[in-house]
Amino acid sequence: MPPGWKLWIMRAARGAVTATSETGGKIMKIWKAWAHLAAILLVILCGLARTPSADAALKPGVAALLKKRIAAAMELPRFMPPGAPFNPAPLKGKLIFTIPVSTAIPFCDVVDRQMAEFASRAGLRFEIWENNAQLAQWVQGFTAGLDHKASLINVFCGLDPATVAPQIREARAAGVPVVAAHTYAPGQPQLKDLSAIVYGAYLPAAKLEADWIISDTKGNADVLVITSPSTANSPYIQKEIAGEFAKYCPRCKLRFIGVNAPDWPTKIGPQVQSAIIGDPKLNYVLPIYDGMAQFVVPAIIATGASGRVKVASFNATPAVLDMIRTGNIVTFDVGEDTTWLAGAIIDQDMRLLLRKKLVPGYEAGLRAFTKKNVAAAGVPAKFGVGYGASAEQGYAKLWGLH
Amino acid sequence: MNLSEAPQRSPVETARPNRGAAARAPLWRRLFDRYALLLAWAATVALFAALEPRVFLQASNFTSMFSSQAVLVVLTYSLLVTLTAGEYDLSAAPVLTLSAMVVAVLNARHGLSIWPALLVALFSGAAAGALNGALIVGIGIDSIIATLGTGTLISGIVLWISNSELISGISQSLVNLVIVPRLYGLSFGFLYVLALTFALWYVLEYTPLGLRLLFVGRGRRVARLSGINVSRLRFCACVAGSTLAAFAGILYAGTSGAADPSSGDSFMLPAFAAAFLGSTAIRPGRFNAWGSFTAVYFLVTGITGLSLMGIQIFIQDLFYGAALVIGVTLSLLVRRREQRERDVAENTES
Repeated sequence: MPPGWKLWIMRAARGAVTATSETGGKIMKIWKAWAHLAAILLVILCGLARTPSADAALKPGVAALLKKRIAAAMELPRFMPPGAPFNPAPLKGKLIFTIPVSTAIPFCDVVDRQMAEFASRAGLRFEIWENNAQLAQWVQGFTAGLDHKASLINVFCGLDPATVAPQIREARAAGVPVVAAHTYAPGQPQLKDLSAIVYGAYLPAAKLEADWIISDTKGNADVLVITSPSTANSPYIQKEIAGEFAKYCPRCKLRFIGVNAPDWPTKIGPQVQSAIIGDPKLNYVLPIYDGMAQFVVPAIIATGASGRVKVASFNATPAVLDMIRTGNIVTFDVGEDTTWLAGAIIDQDMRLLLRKKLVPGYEAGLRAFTKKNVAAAGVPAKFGVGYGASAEQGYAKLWGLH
Repeated sequence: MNLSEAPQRSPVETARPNRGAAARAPLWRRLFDRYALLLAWAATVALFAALEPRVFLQASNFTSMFSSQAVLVVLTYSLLVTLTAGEYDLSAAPVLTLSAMVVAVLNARHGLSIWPALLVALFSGAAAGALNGALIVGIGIDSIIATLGTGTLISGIVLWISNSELISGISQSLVNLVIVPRLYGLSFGFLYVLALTFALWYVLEYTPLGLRLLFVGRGRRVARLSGINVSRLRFCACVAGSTLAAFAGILYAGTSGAADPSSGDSFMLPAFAAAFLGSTAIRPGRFNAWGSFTAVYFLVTGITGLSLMGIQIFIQDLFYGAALVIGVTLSLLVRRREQRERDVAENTES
């Protein structure tokens, strides 16, 4: 309600009563009475419109739009065919060789296994280069791939192609195409020697996180975003988050801090604590990768802010999904459909080998998890669970497999 | 050749104060040497109080600073014990991670109640310490090499038992016992740190065991000739150090309610930094509990102040590194000055 609204109503009502009670009932006075009654009505209507009802801080329609998007993202991902169907039979027996950033990372391991399954069903041979994130091992992987007469090499799961650029050039010179999978965000500068790309769905996930926070805070978000500047896609995720807030909630307050991966355990906690103490209105922390969440949550508890400050993030790591299920601090986590991702990589590989048109902007589907649907990911949660079977069925249909 | 028996200067020896010289130094200078780090801490508090009075001086800022560093302080104490005995333990951080992961696997994944899980975690730390002790004392491998090897071995075990995954869902009762604000906003974790600091201070300063450990660290041959069972003390120091690292792991598990297969590693350098910076204060030249305590909170105060001002992370690294380098350099310069004074005094006497 506008300031002084009670006084306005009282004055208007008094005027109306005075006007109508005067003898003679002159027209002017009646008009005056009507004017006063109209003023009362106007003030009441204005007051109702400005009552801090749900989503009052948002532009009309925005709250409904965001809720609709989030509700859609919480449903099982629905597979969309990326291009025309094709027959992979001519590729029978060809070897796809994949070098992930590390086979010790569970997410990579799950997608590796699903890629192997898809390749096997399509009649391809598939090899994974076992390593634990050392440059020397990646270099050895390229040598092994060429020795094993690979038809194509994937660099996968965050392995930055720039770190193995000479090896990629060597493979290309030997006639072996190289595909970068789940490393780049769209718009990120790419190594020119690569033959094809399958993107990580970092940017749509970032938009969803921002949408959730805007919606959950009804447009009154005060957010600390934790980025990881040394990770190549981090600045693009940051830009996407900032853009989404600027578009739908320009009044929301955003603050970015960058903490590189080796410092997460020691620096995220103090940074979050300082932010909470320094800003009593802070109500959300958005770590751009959910591997950071385990350091954010204790900082929130330690500052006694667990009723005020919530967390939303990306990657659907099982332990973080369990935090959603069992606690009240982490409220939202977006994950990529690992089966869809595995299928997308093999699909792009086969299109490349068959010299078919490549899929531009290729990304896997996402699913958003909140307390309402997190049990779908398993109890306790598991990687690759909770996304349904539409990608598996969709690729089988696309490739004419039964 | 038994490397551990070879004549060598322990870390303590390299920073040994000269008591004679110190005794001849003026009182104000001795006091300054002892409490310079405390003064620096006070100056840091005053600086940020002036720059950010609205936020920095809030009680919640101080309670959160004190409550959040229990893991680092206890890991520093783990190093303090082994460093006092003249050994470098590079496996302390992997033991921390192992302990946290044992708690997570047993409690969150296998449903074992929290107390037996904590006991197993402590035991795993003691076992790792016994392995270190056997390699260092029994076989005679240099402590850096032995603990580098066991640390890598332990990291492999952690990856194995955790399936390389972050494991969450550790009992809330442990979280309540470590990180949740309890007493005037302070968590129990900080109270454990205080109790441990008093205990270590007392044992190392006022008990025969502590003094023997110091002698062993400063000169094994002299200690052996004095009738001290050097091997047993070194072995026990390894076990005690690793058990403390395992306790730090329990605090880590209680702090985050989860265990990560690699997070503990990042505590290693800050813990060594705190131990060495701490050896320049309170009891200059000795690795000591109150010095380490002061060092950790001095560094944390600086970093928190910079965070509150919105300063970027790399500036915090500069502060951290510069504080360590300046602290240790000043300490060395003070000792050189004392050495010169002692030489002058001895020449005069002769």
